[in-house]
Formats: sequence, structure tokens, C-alpha cells
Amino acid sequence: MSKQTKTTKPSMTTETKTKPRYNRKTLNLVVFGLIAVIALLSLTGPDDDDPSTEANDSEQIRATDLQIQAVNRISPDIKLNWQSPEVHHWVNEAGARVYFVASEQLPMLDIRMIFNAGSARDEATPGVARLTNALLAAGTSTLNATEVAAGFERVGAQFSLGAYRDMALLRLRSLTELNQLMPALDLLANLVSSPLFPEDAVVRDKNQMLASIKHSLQQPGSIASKAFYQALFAQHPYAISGEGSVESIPKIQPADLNKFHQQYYVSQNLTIALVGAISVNQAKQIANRLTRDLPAGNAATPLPESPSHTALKKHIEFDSNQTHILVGTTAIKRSNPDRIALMLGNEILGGGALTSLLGKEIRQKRGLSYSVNSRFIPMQSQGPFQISLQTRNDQTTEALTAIHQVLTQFIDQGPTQEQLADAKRQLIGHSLFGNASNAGIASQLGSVGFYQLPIESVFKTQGEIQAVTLEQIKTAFQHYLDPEQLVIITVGASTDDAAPEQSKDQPLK
Amino acid sequence: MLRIQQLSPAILISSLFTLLLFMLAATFGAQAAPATNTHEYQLANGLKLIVKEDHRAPIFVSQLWYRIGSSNEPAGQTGVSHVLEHMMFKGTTKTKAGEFAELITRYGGTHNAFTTRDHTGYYQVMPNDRLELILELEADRMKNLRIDEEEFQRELKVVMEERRQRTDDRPTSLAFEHFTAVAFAGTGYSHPVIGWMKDIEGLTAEQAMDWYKLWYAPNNATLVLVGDLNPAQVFEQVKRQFGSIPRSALPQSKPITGLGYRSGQRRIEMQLKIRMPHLYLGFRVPNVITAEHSWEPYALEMLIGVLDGGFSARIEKELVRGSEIASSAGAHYSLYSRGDSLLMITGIPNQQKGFSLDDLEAALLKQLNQFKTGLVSEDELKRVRAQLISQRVFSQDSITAQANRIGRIESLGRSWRTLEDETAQLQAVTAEQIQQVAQKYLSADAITAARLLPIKPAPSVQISRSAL
Repeated sequence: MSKQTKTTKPSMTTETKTKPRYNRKTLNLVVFGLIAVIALLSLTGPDDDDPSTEANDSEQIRATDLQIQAVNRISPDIKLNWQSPEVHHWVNEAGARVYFVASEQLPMLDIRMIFNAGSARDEATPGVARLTNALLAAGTSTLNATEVAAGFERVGAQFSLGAYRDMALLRLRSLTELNQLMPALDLLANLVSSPLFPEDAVVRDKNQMLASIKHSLQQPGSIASKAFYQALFAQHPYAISGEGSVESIPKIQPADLNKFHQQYYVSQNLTIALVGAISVNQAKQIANRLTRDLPAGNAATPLPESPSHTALKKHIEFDSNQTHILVGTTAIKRSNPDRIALMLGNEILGGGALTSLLGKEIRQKRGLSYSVNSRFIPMQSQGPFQISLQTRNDQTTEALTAIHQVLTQFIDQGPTQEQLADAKRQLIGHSLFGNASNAGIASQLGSVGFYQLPIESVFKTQGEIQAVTLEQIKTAFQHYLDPEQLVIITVGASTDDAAPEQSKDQPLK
Repeated sequence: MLRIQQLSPAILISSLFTLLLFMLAATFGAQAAPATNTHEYQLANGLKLIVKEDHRAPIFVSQLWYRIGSSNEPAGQTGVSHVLEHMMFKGTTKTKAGEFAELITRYGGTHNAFTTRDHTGYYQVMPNDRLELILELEADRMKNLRIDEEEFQRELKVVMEERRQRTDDRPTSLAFEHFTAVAFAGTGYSHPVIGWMKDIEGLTAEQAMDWYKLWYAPNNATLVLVGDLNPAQVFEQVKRQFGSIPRSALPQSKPITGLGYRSGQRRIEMQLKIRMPHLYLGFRVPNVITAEHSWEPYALEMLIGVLDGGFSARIEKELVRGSEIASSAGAHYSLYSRGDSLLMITGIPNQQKGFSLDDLEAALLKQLNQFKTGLVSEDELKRVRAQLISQRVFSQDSITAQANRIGRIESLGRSWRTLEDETAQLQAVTAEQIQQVAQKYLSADAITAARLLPIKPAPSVQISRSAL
């Protein structure tokens, strides 16, 4: 068994999929890997991915076989009689959409400012969205980068930035103690409205992005992912990688960042999520403070629909022991009403648990891979559905055959009633966990606001999950997935066994 | 959807001021009385129960902590605690192998387990109406474990793979393992939690069973429950499930004494498959559990914060950005463990600028020396205090992190109330105290140093400095 990938549950929010880019330790990973070791070695136990936690015959165990008494008294079905907190929503004076949940338990406040300013807005200069976002903290007219960081650190606040395909965001977590919250709020408002993009910081960050691009060109996983998005999205903005390219990054000038900032970091293009120990009135004041110095501007125009594609198989030669496999297609928007049905189906097909259909076939039965998973990534436009796994190079063909077989059968037959009931409980359990922390709620509020979903979907997902039927899942899978029209990317060393019939692209240099 | 309140122009102009007024009017009850929602019980058989109410969502986390970890393992049987942890999922007299995990999943929960030098713990997150299932399952495997020979042999292979993956194939993990062995020579902290490979290979089902019988008992365990629960009801349920398990005569824990704080320099050098050279420096220091003077650990924590508490801290400001001697560096110190902690400073020299490991070590030692010769500034104290106190509040946002903090300190024999006092402890730390702990513990004749050298010269990939 290997531990290189920890399968995580499909997230209910898009925002949490990638690591925040603003992190002073971004390139200190090597050193901090060490600290991680301390934590890792103190966590050497079985987990969701660990075969030790699973029955080897993986047969479902039913109540009749059990000597555990509690199962006779507790129904596995989750009761949904929860008094969930109220979600407050308004459009503030500047035109920002604001979402607020009061949480009195801890004297702290979480703030997220989310702009429709992700790398899908990069246009001719891939990387500009990420650079703009990262450099918000590089200085203002009155403060340099150290002073900005010190401003937050001095009051014990935690601040971070991130830019993804759809979203660009700023996160702040502060105590509600006034002399700590106020300076942090002022600083946040200042950064977002009046960044300076100083020349030396731009140069430094560009170099850093170039280093990171070069590094990712040596990672088979990144190579596969880039090729996958290029194949799926062709001319669509999602095709490009947010980190930019070795061609695009050197061209970016401070003026480009200013222009991007002026166009997209505007109130009309902003969602604010607030969770913490404040009142609705205070939330209103805070939201207004944050947009006070921002121009109203315009909301970003809708992205084009994602293109359709035909079946495509592409192999990229890479000197590694394992081949990285990505199989998928474009599927749904975040606002698609079929999303819950698809997520439930995916939980059964290849969601986190080892007991998924793909997990059983690929790992438990055939021993082809340590981890295999599938997921939908719903976005503003139709985002991908993808199945990913790594396997020893000479097993690639067998793995692809197995994936095809499992997927085809699942699309044909749909899940069983029993599988669906289990999947519902898993997803409901996860969604409740997401509601149990301020950070989890803030993340969901951000998502709901950004994708303009009904506010009910924050705390009422459980009901939606419960209502999904077998037929809905089957119909949805048949509608969105055609096993004969998939994009298949393999990155690894070809062997006699796996000799791909298609063209062999050279790894990017 | 709420309507926007009409605000007067005055408020619009000086919303900040208004905000201030609103805030002043608010009260923050959570800060005033943080402890009232934590409840403590003990069963006649010695099982300790801590219930902390958190009603934000209808779920709970259960963590069952056993006071047994790798530091108690006898020579030749390192890794037995961890293998036993794996076997705890492999069936009891009531359940089949894997059934535990199947049930948790089927009931909409997630679960995990961990082994450390000091503890072995098992935890689940579940909707709050199914506590009884968790209690019954945990009580069952506290007394009824079965270890099947075949299952054991299969699991041993899994653990060996785990070791290869996590340690043997990761140069920095391997280096850290050796570094720890040297720093804690002669104590139970000198061997890895997962065990030496040769020891793992030789472990038997019988040894795992003996280890289980020796240490898995209600009087060696703490059950921590955090979430949307009713403490009094929970206590009744816990009594019902665990009450009949007899207490056992526990062996004495192996002390973690070994060498003192000034036991001479120890240096190792390793050739590894890494791209850049690394430097590890370590000092044995007391922590909350081992300290003679209760303020010392908090002074050390503040010292680490001054050195490495963010972008504006000394390492980032002076070594990464200022002199650019380090391409990255960091400091680490843990407040809670049964034996002394290792205060660690690690770094990678900035080779682009022509700096070597020697340069980096000299610069880091100079940084440490500054703590001995001068006092940290009032600004630095304020910043670090604000950060450490905020972090403690922030860490309570997650129910699992709350349970972790309580479980760990209780398992080390201290009350969870210790955590409630920490804000006051941090408030009281003075610049002079930081100087004193630096003088006392961070001396050159107490250092353990490791140099990790690339087997091949570093490739030409440009690694620039820290983010921003």
C-alpha cells in the first residue's frame, strides 16, 4: 500500500479543491515536510484509504449477522430534524452580495471576499489572475509587504489569498476583540482596494511562478492534469492552467495586473461571506467597510459554455514507474439541479471510500492501484467529471479496461437501493460535518454566493440528498456520461504491454 | 432575503466609527466563560470521560485515547503499538474483520486511528443520534479483541509497505528518524513510532495480543466526546457500555529520562536522494508536562514565535529576505509530550546566492545567540502573544481539533483545565524569561545537528525565495 495520495471526499464547494496560493511557506515545502513527518508519524493509523480498515472480502455486513446490539436500536437512516442557523443575505450599498451566519460560540469572525476573477479571466496572458491575487499583499501606497504581513500578525489575525479557475479570494480570520478586529478589517479593505503591485515584488513572484511551472513539468500528475483540461476544454478559458506558462509569465507587467484588478476586483463582482460572533447589523457595517473604497464596476460577463468533445486518447511519455491515468469528460455547472444525484452516484461509483465500485474492482479485486477515485468538478461553466488512478506502467491497459467496464456497467444499470441508501448517509454525514465549523459554513456561504445558488442549499442539502431516487441517478449518469466518448490521458513510461496505439507526445521541456 | 437598512450619510462616511460603537455594545460571552460547556466524569473502573458540548451541528466526534505508544515498547519489538492499532479493526469475539469500518460507514460516519510516541487513539465522527453504536463498538474492542494469525501476517505486510512509503522512500523522513534517534538516544523516543523495519518483520500475533492485554484497560483510557450531546445522558450510556470492563493492574510506564539538557554536541551527516542540502538543529527542552517551572514552556513557545511566527518574524525577515542566507527555514516546538520535547530549527541554504550549510548554521546560531544576549522587543512580544492566543481560539472551531487538545493533555495526566489557563500563562511571559530559557537550554553544548547532503549536485531548477 502506498500513501502518496489521500483520497478526499468530493467537496461540496469548489473553493476548497486547491491549496491557497498565498502562503509564506509555499516553497518551503521541503523543510516543512519535515515538520509534517512529526505529525505523520504520529498518525500512522488506518484511515479511509487503508486496507486494514476494510474487510478483505468486502462483503456488505447486514444487521442480521451482527452481535452488536446498537444496530437493533438505531436505524442507520439519519433523521433530519435539525434547527439549522439562519442564513442572512443581502446586496449591500456597493452592490456586493453578502451572506452571513451568526455563530456566537467563539469570539472570532471568518471573512471571505470572493471575486469572479479566477484564471478563466486570464484571456491572452495565462497567469495574470493568480499573480494579481497573490500580489494583493505585496504592498499598498502606504505599506510594504512586510508591513502588510505584520499588520495581520500583530493582531493575531490569519490572512490568506487564493485564485482558482473560477474564483479569486481573500480570507481573513480574526478575534472579534475590537482592537484586534478593526486593524485587520482596515488592512483587508486597504489591500483589496488599493494594491500597489510594486515592480520588485512582481519580478519576484513571476520568478516564483516560473520555478513552480518548471517544477510541475517534472511531475507526471501535473502533466496529466494539464493535458486533460486542454483536451476537454480546447479554446475555452478552462483549458489553460492558472499558473500560466513559461511563455506567458515573462510578458506580464505591473500594468496588466492593475488593469485586471480594476476590471475584476469591484463590488459588483464580489461575494462576501461572514461567519462569527457578530450581529446582523455589525455584519452589514463590516461588509460596507470592505466595499467602501472599491469601485462598483461590473459583474464579470458569463463564461462561454464548455465545448463538447469526441473520444480522445493521448499518451505522454514520461520516465516513471507508475503511469498516471485520467479519464473523463465535461459534465455539469455548479448550478445544475442534477448535481446532488450525480454526486450520490459518484459516491457509489468512485467516491472516497474503498468500497466504491471502482475501488473494489481496481484495488481490492485486481490490486492495480493503491488509490482510485472519481469525481465531478462543477464550476461556472460545465466542469469535468474525472476518474484518476496511478498504476505500474505495464498494468495501464488492464486498468483502462477495468475502468471502462465498471463505468459502462454503472451507467447501464445504475446503483442498487442498498448502495444508494449507504451513499446518502455518507453524503449527509459529510454535509453535517461541513456545517459543524465556522470555516465549513463560510466556505459554503462563499460557494452559494459565488454561484448564486439558493441560500437553502447551505443547511438544507441533507433534505435534497434524501430525496434523490435510483432513477434520477441512472438517468443523470446516462445523460452526462457516455463511456464511448471519453478523454483518456496517460502519462508514464510505455511498456510492451501498454504500447499505446496513439501518437506519443514528448514531455514538455 | 433581508433588505438593506438605510444608513445615514454620516454613518456611510465614518462607518468605521459606527462599527466601533456597535462592537463596543456587543458582548462576547464565549470568551468570558469558555469552560462551562466541558464536563468531566470517571467510572469506577477508572475510565475517564470528558464531554464538551458544541451544538453548532447535530454531530459529534468520539476519541478514545489509550495511554500507550511507541515510547514504551521494548527493544526488538518497536512498532508493536502501531501494529496493534491496525489489528483493532480486524475483529473481536463479537465482530468480524472489517465490520467495525463497515458499520461506521453504513451509519454515515467517518473514522480513523493514530499512534504516537505517547498514545494510541481511535476516533469517529457521526450524526449525534448514534453515539450508542460507537460506545458499544469501542467497549467491545477494549475487551474482546481477537488476533487471527493469518490476518496478522497480512497486516504486517501492509505496515511494512506503510513504512517503505512513509519513511524509507522519503529522504527527509528517513533523515528525521535518524536525527531523532540521536537526539533522544537511550530513551523510548529514540525509535520511530512505526518501528524499525527489522523489528516489524519479527513481530508476532502473540506479542501484539500481550501488548493489548497489558495496556488496553479502562483505567488506561480517556474517552473524549465533543459535539451536539447531552453530557448527563452520555455519562449514563458510557457507564452502561464500559462499566462492566474490569480495571487492570497496569505496568509502570518506561520513563523518558536519558541524557540531560547539556549532554554534548552530537552531529550526523547523511547522503540522501535530495536536491538541496538541509540542516536540522535540535535542542532537548522541557514542555508543559516535564517542566520544573510551569512558565518555561510558554517562554519557549514565545521564543519560537519571535523566530518563526510568520512573514514578519525574525527568520523570514532577517534570514530569508534580509541576508538571503536561507532559501527557507523554520522553527518548531511542541508543548505536550510525556518526555522532553525537541526544539527544532531547520533550513535550506540559499545556494543561488552562494550560501552553504556552514553559513546557514552560523546564521541560525547567531539568531539563537541574540536571544541570550538581548531582550526581545515589546512589539515582538505583543505580536507573538496575539498570535498564540488567537490560534488557541481558532483551534476550537473544529470539533476534532477540540477533542484532540483535550484528549492529548488528559492522556498525559494533566487536566484539560491546563488549556484554559494558557492565555494567562502567555500573557505573563516576559522578555527576561525568554532570555532565561534561551540561556538555559539553547546552548552549543546541547545541540544535535544533522546535515542532509544531496547524493548528486543540485540540478539547475531555480527555487526562488519565500512567497511574496
